[in-house]
Amino acid sequence: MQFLNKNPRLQTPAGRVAVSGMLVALALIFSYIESLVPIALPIPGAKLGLANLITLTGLFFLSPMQVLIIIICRILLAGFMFGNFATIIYSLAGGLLSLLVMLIAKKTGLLSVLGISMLGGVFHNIGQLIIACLILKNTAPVIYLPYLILIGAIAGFLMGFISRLICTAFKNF
Amino acid sequence: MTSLQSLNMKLLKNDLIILFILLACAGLLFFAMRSKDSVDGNYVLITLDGKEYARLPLDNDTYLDINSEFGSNRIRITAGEVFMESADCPDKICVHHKNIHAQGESIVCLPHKLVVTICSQKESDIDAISQ
Repeated sequence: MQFLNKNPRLQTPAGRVAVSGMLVALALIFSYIESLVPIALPIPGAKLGLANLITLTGLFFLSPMQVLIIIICRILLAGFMFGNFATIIYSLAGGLLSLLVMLIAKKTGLLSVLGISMLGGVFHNIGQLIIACLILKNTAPVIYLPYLILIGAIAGFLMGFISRLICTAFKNF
Repeated sequence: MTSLQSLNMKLLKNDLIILFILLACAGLLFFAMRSKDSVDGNYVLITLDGKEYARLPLDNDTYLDINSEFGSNRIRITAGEVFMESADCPDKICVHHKNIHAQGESIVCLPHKLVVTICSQKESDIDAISQ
């Protein structure tokens, strides 16, 4: 995917809009597929976070601002199409907190995409937990924290693994 | 490309450390929260939108219908255990939740802003202090 940084035509505003639009569309397809196939997990509501593949891979090839715009567009559009106002709030909280943590994790230079992805998955769930507590005005959901950390780490690991394959495949493109 | 150097295989060790730390956190929190659950509570506190809605004793088999602007739920108490019998929320996570009986356990219906928590009455707190 290095062609994204190297191709001068993609460095123009129009080029960036085209790439962002394509990635938002891909992320929406992932969200749609995920809403069609409920993954049988003992904890209800647990998701793999396929759409986070775009965020994760984008971290390595796009500017943080472009990734942020892609996330916000994806969440708003997916919310309007497959969800409701509540799902938009939860997704934004999770998506933005995980993006922030992943950007910091990447900045340290100590972690590969696997570790960055695991932290992103865990903090995605923590962001949603914070919103759940705020909406309920109650700390009861905190009991789910251990499960959310575990599930976030597992989902993050899987997504990180896939993202690693994508990154290495495109590295020499 | 500096950003591509972050894909280096040598960083895998740090990733495994992160995995270990996350799993350790999950495990520690799991056991820290579990240890409190050993005591059976004696009443159930129902909170709607952050405000107390009702308190029901656990030793009395009954049910309670909650109709609010957010939706309807029916909570049932049977043999000292509490569960959500029915709800018209979209995800039904609260209905599928296992029965609760121990102090600190709770069932949450997120779309309806409803929290059902098992509590212990004041007497037990006084007992704990006197010990």
